[in-house]
Amino acid sequence: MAGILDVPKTRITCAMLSQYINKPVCFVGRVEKVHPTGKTFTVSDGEAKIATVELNDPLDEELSGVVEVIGMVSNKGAIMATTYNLLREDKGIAFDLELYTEALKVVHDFPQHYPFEVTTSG
Amino acid sequence: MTKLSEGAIEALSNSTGGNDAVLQLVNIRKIDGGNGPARYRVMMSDGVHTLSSFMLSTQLNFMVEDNLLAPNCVCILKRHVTNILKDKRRVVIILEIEVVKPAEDVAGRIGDPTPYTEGQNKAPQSATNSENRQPLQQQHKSEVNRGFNKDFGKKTPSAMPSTPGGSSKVVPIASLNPYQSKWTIRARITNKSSIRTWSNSRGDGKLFSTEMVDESGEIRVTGFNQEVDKFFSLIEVGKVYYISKGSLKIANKQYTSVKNDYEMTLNGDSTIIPCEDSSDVPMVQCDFVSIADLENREKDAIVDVIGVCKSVDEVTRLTTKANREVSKRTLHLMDMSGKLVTVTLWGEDAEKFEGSGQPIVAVKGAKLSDFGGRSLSASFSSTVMINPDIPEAYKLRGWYDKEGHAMDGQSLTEMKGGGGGNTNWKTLADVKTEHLGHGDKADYYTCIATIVYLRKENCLYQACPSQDCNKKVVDQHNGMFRCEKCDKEFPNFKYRLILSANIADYADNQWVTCFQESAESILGQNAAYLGQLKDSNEAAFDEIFQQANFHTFVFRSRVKLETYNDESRIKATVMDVKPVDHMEYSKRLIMNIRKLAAE
Repeated sequence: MAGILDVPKTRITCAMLSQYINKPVCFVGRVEKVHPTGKTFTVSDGEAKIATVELNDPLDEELSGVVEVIGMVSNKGAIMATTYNLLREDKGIAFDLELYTEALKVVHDFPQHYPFEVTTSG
Repeated sequence: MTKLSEGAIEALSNSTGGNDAVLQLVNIRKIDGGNGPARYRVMMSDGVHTLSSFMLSTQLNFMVEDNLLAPNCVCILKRHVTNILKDKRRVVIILEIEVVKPAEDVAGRIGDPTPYTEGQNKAPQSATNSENRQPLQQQHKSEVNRGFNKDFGKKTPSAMPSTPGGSSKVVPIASLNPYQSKWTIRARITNKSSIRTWSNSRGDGKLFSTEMVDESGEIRVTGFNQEVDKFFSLIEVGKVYYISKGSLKIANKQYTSVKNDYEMTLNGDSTIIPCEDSSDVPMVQCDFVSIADLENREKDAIVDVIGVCKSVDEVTRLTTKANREVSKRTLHLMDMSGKLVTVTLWGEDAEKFEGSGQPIVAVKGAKLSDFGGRSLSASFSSTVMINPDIPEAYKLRGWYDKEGHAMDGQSLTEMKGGGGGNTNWKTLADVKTEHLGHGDKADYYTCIATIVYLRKENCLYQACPSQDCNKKVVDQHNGMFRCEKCDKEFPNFKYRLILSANIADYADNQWVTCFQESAESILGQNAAYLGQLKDSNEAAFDEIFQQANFHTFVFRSRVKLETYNDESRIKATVMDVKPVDHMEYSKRLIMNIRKLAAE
């Protein structure tokens, strides 16, 4: 199995999680609640739906704002994160999560025009 | 046999009653009154007396024109006011009348009435008049006094009308006309303009106008110069006032949507007194048109609309032809017809509008335009009300919260690519396929495109250094530069840009000309510096052009077919260059994709 970072990952919203179980995904959302253990936190997408992110190692930093998570979707629909990247909002224009979600829906609604379909599975 | 209210004529001419009197119409006559609407003078009989000084209020003219009111018909006088003319004659204005027996069903004159002459009862009449005034009028009169004392203190006695029989009683707005002068109306202010000034060959001045309403109708009131100083700050929109002694004249419908044949001008004698007890005066009179029906209305019609404000655009500022800067803002209103329309607010209305929480917005007197399908503009004579306290607003709110919010309303206003109503978004391919610029007038469009080539040859010219003159100067080769336009020679010149650029989007490309400001935005340097570089450091000059390539901008361009030497070419001139607002651009693309997919 190739490393998750080397394979194509589909960008999804919370509503699509169940269709991507055991598949590598890229999820962008706003950090909502960080579990006291630091091993898991919840994120909301542009439709205010909530997903859970689980980490291998506890967080070593304060997490807030918009985050891009790369990982596999578990059977329970949680994102098992391999890595994450915080989008800095203090520089330039704030990230419009609602707009991102709308764009993502367009991409998924018209796959014939956006041929990003992941063919090689992990 | 219909029984007439005997004695009613006497009562009417004494102003002591007579409402609901059953009278026979004896005669009706049209009065030629200049250019205004026709007025009808009516003679009525109660079987005992006849009185010829009845006037039909103009809104009832149709009853004569439709032959409902004709000699011999029997009617009930539902509502009236009695006015006393300067020469003490009384005129009964008929405000509401019902025909109980049409003329053809009446055999002829009922009874043997004789003309009623006021003189015969004059002495006792004026004596009883001041005491036996109708309770209603008494009440109003005391109200006038009350309000007056409270707000104006000592001025009261002199300003109060005190002539017996001539005291200003409260009359409905609908009964006002130019032929009477002693009246008071009790009305609510529904609109107040800002102070406007004028200046022309005949002098200058200022004015403001307001609109007021009572249960009978509405009227526009204008004040000039001194009256502006006197009344402008006193009058507040939404409050109720007693107004008396204004001058009435035929309304100029060009400037107003107010449904009244007359309008009022305030004069030196006019009084405006706040009224405290105002709950019974209606708020506004609106005749709302369904948004879906706007499609069937004439362009430039003045209409009242009410809708849920689904979304609001940001305020933008623009410069009018008269070089005045104004703010504008567009709203998108939806009503129960499920249709949306764009409403443009101007000036203060635009700046102050608070659209959060999707309020109910009612616009009275909006002007319908066929711009981009159908759209509305709230001009200075319009009234914009947010969450007005009227039944229509509550009904609409209920509907919207229950079902309307889920509806995807269809807009009557064509969203030309969206993002700020009137931006004419095109791709460069559209510009060609739609033959923009081929018409009589130049076309304007906006596109997002990337610089693919900049022609650096001849992009700078030597221009007249005087301010506002950008004419090219002729080098006299003696250290002087001549401007033909200013007819002067100068020891210097200023560099100006005229840059030819090739811009491209996904579908096509186009040669455009960019002048000073737009060229400076593209190159990122000012013209003076570029001129200096060109003369001193050609490598650095070239570098600037290289760097400017492949940047993407929003271009607003003007295209026009121009003919030189029998050869026609489309000439595109860039009016404005702006950086791309990616967020707004994405929103527009998503909207267009959704719209295309729905087709």
